[in-house]
Amino acid sequence: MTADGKSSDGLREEPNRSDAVDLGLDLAGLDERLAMSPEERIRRHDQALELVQFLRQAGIRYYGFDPRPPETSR
Amino acid sequence: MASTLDLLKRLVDHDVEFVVVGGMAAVFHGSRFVTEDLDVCARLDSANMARILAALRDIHPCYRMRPDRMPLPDDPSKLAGFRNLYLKTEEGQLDILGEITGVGGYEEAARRSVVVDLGPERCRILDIAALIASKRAMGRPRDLQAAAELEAIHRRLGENREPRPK
Repeated sequence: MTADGKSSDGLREEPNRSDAVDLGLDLAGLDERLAMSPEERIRRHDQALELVQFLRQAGIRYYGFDPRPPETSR
Repeated sequence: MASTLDLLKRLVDHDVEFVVVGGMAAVFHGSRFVTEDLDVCARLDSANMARILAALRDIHPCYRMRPDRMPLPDDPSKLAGFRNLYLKTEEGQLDILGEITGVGGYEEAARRSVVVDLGPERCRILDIAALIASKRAMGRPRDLQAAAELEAIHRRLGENREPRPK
């Protein structure tokens, strides 16, 4: 990538890392995920999914209904 | 497979004083944005730090942000002065924050939390108003997007609690 943010092949522009930080993206996490194999990424996602589902159900019990916006409720 | 839910239960089982914040708290309140990390705000004094270390000891915590992935030390005194810990464990990623932008430290986060059953145990989750305040205070586009969604959910919660007109 060149200093002005363009890739060396000149065909596409790479996002500026400081812009990504300003947007709130976790670049360390992104780099880590990019270093993983697809299988490792799926395993990592599955590892978190159980907690996501657990908290979603806990929220439904707490509020007495599904608080997700209607268009995303299932 | 060990999961991030197990990680949360470890903290509860070891009596760690913490509040779930961030994306997992947002999921509890109805967010459709899914995260892979567990973020908690915790009291970072030596007693609580010792409980955190005891909770994580078996799952090999290491510093996630360090290129050498240095293991977390066993001695809580070596963590004195840390304001945040960004960790990787065998049960998922755990960010331990001493303070939440727009909310404050552990005491304030605990005051602005709800208590949720985890089966036989309970844990605290940052309430939706405080979560919105933290996202607004962070102010980055990603946080503002999350805040807008949480505000829509907050309105919906209000509508569902008010008596329906006859």
